[in-house]
Amino acid sequence: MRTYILRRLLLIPLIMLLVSFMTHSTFRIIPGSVAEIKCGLQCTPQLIADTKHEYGLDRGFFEQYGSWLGVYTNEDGKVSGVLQGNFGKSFLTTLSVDGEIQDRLPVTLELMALALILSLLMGIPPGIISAIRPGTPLDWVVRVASVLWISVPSFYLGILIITFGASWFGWSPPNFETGRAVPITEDPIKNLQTYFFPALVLSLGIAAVIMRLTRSSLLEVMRNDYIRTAWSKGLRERSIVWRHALKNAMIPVLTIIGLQVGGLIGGSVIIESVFALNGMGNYLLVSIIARDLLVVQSLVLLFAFVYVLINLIVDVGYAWLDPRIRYG
Amino acid sequence: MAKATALELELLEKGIPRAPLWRRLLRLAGSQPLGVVGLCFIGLILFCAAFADYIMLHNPQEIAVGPVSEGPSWSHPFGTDRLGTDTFSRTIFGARIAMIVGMSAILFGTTTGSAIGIASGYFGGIVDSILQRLIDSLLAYPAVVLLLAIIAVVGDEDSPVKEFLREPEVHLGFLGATIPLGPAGVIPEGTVWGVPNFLDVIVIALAIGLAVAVGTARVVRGAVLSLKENMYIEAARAMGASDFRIMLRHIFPNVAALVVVLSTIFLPIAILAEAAISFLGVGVPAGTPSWGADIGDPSNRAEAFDGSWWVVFFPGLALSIVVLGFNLVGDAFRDISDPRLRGGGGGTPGM
Amino acid sequence: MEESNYWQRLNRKRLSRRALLSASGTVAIGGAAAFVVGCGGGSDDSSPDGSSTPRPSRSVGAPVSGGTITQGRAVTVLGVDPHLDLTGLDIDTLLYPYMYGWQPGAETAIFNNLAESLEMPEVTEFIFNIRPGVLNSPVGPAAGEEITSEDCKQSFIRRGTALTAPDKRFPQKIAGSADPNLLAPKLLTPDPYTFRFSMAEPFVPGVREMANPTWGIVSAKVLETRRGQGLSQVAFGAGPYMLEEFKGNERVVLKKNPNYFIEGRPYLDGITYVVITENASLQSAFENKQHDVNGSILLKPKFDEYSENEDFVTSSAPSLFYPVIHLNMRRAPFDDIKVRHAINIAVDRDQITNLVFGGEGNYNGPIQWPQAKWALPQDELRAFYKRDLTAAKQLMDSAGYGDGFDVSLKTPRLTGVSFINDIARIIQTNLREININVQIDEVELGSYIVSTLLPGNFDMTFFPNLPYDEPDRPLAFYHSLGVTGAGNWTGYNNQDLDDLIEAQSREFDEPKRQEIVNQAQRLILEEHGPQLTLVGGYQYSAHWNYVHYPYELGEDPSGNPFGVDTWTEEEA
Repeated sequence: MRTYILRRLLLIPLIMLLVSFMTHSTFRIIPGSVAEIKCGLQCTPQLIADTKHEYGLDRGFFEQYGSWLGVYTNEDGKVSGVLQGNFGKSFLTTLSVDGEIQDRLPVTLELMALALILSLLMGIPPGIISAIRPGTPLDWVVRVASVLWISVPSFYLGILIITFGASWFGWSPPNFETGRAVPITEDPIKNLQTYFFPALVLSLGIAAVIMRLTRSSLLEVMRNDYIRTAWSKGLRERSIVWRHALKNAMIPVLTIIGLQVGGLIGGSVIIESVFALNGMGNYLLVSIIARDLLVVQSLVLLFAFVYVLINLIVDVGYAWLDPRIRYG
Repeated sequence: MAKATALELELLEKGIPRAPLWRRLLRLAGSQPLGVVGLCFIGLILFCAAFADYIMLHNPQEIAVGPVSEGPSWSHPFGTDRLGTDTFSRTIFGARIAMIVGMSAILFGTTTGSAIGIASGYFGGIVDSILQRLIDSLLAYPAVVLLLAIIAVVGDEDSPVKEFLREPEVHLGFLGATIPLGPAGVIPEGTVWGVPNFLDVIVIALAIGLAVAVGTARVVRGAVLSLKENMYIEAARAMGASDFRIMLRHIFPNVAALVVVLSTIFLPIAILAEAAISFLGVGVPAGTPSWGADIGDPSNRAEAFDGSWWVVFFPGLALSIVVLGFNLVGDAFRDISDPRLRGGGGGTPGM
Repeated sequence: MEESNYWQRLNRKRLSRRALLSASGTVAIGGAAAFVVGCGGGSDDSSPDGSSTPRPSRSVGAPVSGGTITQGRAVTVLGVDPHLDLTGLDIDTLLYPYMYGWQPGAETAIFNNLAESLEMPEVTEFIFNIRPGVLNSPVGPAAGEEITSEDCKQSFIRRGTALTAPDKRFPQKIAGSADPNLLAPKLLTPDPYTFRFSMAEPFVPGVREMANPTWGIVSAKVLETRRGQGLSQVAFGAGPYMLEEFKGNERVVLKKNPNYFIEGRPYLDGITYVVITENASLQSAFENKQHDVNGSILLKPKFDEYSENEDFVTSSAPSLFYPVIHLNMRRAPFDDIKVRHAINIAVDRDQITNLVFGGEGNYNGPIQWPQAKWALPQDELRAFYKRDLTAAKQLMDSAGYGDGFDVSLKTPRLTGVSFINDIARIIQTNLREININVQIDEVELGSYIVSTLLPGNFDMTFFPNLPYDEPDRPLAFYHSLGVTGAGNWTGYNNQDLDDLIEAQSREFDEPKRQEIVNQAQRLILEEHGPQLTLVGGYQYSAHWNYVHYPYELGEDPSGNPFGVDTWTEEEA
């Protein structure tokens, strides 16, 4: 187990290196860079060249990569990059990526946290109910609902909420008024109004997955011999479900929750843009479209890091929870 | 239930003919009504995709076929948009775009993915390590971001990929030679099956396919790892069969079923992916009657906000129906393959 | 009848300064694809002008000081450096003083700002008398210091030779070079309140140029201190407002400059711009009173709806933004005048007006119609571009293209904007009728600029133009040297036209200049010059009725600089 974790941990830097290198190469292959885009339609070749030079975009492939990484001198002759904790700056806005991340990370984190809470609330209790009363109308309702949740694309639902919420109910999220999401410490109500719908939209699909897995996993556990024994001992249903079945049934559910958190990262890219939330996802999307190289590189690296880390935690957690599983 | 299965098996062994196929199917349908509904949805969409030309009332691209921004009516069941385009026709035709992109992506993705997966699993060692680290890092991208990055590379008007697809040939600079790999314009740039900018749409499909390939390769490799320990592989090798032959004749047939299953899982995902990136405005060319593009189009959204809800609502509904169809059928199959999880039975489980 | 209507309407609907400013910022596609939403007659700003709809039922008191307003904004502000950044021009004009203002439509200078007057003993000689007592806002390196001629000089050098100054004609005419070191000694500052220079030859567009939002006067000390760091994210100016918070992709907060040179102004304590790049969201925020001033792109139907609502004040102004399609004359079949002619009369301009501009719009010649002084008369244009499919087909036949041809129309892909594709689709439909099969090819913006537009790698290409209120710039697209001096994109070359274009830029006498400009335009028409000029519409704006712009009170629009007189009834 320990060697397994160690090996996985050692692989992380390698994967990060590959991820960043691929991102860097990608944006070098495609024609058109942030220089042209910032320069605009009324651009001259001279202006593009000058802008590229100013940003250091005319430097060699490895020079640029190295200086971003922090193993090679940058335009100012200093060595300062990701390894030194400096993510560089956006060419487009000239703002430092570190500062942007500081501003935007809380937005994305809160969105994801709320989405996770909502998906647990909408996933686990209905899943349990459905499993202990299979075949009943309640079970049917829950199952049909879960299929619907998983089938409506999140961006479509988001558009419906934002468009029809506004035109039919005169409602639009409070962040439209100030341009930023109010922190929860400042005004919890407004904060919730801002995050509730994007989080809901984001959570539906996950809730459905969690609900289904909870149901099937619990159904399976309930068939085990030890549950039969419990029944035969005349224990009450509540005690059987809560004390005996649920604990074991939750192991695969925990795993899937972990994996879904990874999925949340991707989902946030689209949902943040739909709800005009200035989080990490929106930032990444805008930067990709604007070919803002350093921002994309840095954000992708960060996203990938979190994703890989979550996967590792899930795997390790799974092994820890279910002693039957042992990794080589 | 288990008893019934055992009985069937017994009958099968004795060679006594079972109930006719249609009756068995009917019985299956009776036990999985939601699955049947799902199949109907998929069938409906496939039907629309195939026979769009006959169902559509107008050319989905044609402007000014009716009044501007008018609500649903008999002549325009889903209303019209700001340019007087018929939303019904666009929604119906969207099925074709979705299916073309979805199917091409799956075809390309699962083929490449299984090839990589088989090679990786079969050869093991350094090849496997390199390929797996590459796949690890591709999987580390959030899916949407991976797609956006791939599209940034291949989607450009003059990207090498598009150039290659226009004229499939390889330039060998050092020999000064050009090796043609196929006739120019195999994938036409113009309108094919009514799909405008066909090449652009296919390139989007290939980009999605690439993402599918990554997922496929990982799963197939896992299967191959256990397969290759089998005796018959050893035997084939001992008989002097080449690696390529073993992979093609002995390993591939054994993972084929898995690949088919993967394809059905990935198909709705691919359709959703196309919709999502077109929604973000970086997918199919603007004006293409794609569901995602119609939902995300800024003018459509403004129109919907102004009260012309139909321009956004119906394309999204169609998209949801496809995904719902696949999910329902997927559920039904899971139930059939693992009857213990089925809803029926009644009473307390295990009793 | 149509004709007289047009001129009457034009006179009523005076161009607004605000609309112009904001539009220039919007369409300066200096912004990235993601940031460009404006255009299509859109303005990210309200445009108070003669055509607004004041409500007689509402009694409006005298302007009061205080309060803040929130304004939506569709375009991300990449920076507020007046000399370099193009996406925040409307904000720049609130932060810095300018030599003088510009009255669009009338196209005259208004001396309500830093310069009290301009003396021109000769047409090449410029002497500015600087207003004493214009103080910097109480922040930054030159806090509270007076703006002097030295500041004008340094700002002129910085702007005139900036990378983003497209053609360096301004320094060229003064110093014969775009080198800042050569320009400096030619800009004279005999005393703190006099700024003068002379040009080698008359250069009329220079007068408009100096009133551009890109020619803000920044304190020399600020320029010196911020050298290397730039002025994109900070602002230290002597304009009516100062920058309190700048987050170009979220919000920009301005607050009142207590040192502003006009006593008691600005009325407002502050302005907050909220950036939301999605149009429907902007509209909902406005309707739900989250924004006091609408920032979304309004189309005609929505505008009409707002106009009927008592709670809103709406206004419309002719949009100087104009879409064109460049035809590449280096390539067949566009080298054939018959083909260009056929295309010109096959396009249904009225359909574009109806479908894209909500039915309100006029034909554009080489110079767009709202430039009343310079544009060719509508009846001439409407007669010239009259749709005639029979004649078009005959022309195609006689050019040998009776069976038509396939052609690609390349458009820049701008996420968040659909009007480009809308127009392209209409043209595609129109041209199909004369057997020209147009395929619309979208190209990513960056790639579009570098590999499509600049090298002339296209058959036909869509080009959204900036709003110009001077005839020089729109004509320069036809000049063989192009707008940048590096050659035009269409390969069009006509020495007579070049001469005319250069002649008009030297002619200070307005009637004479008009004549030359018209001559040039008619020459372009005759040749079916390589730009498919289409139609231009209006831009519409709206704000809640408690926000007031001075023009609605019937004040002289040439009163105070932009943004100074805005006030609100609601204490925020």
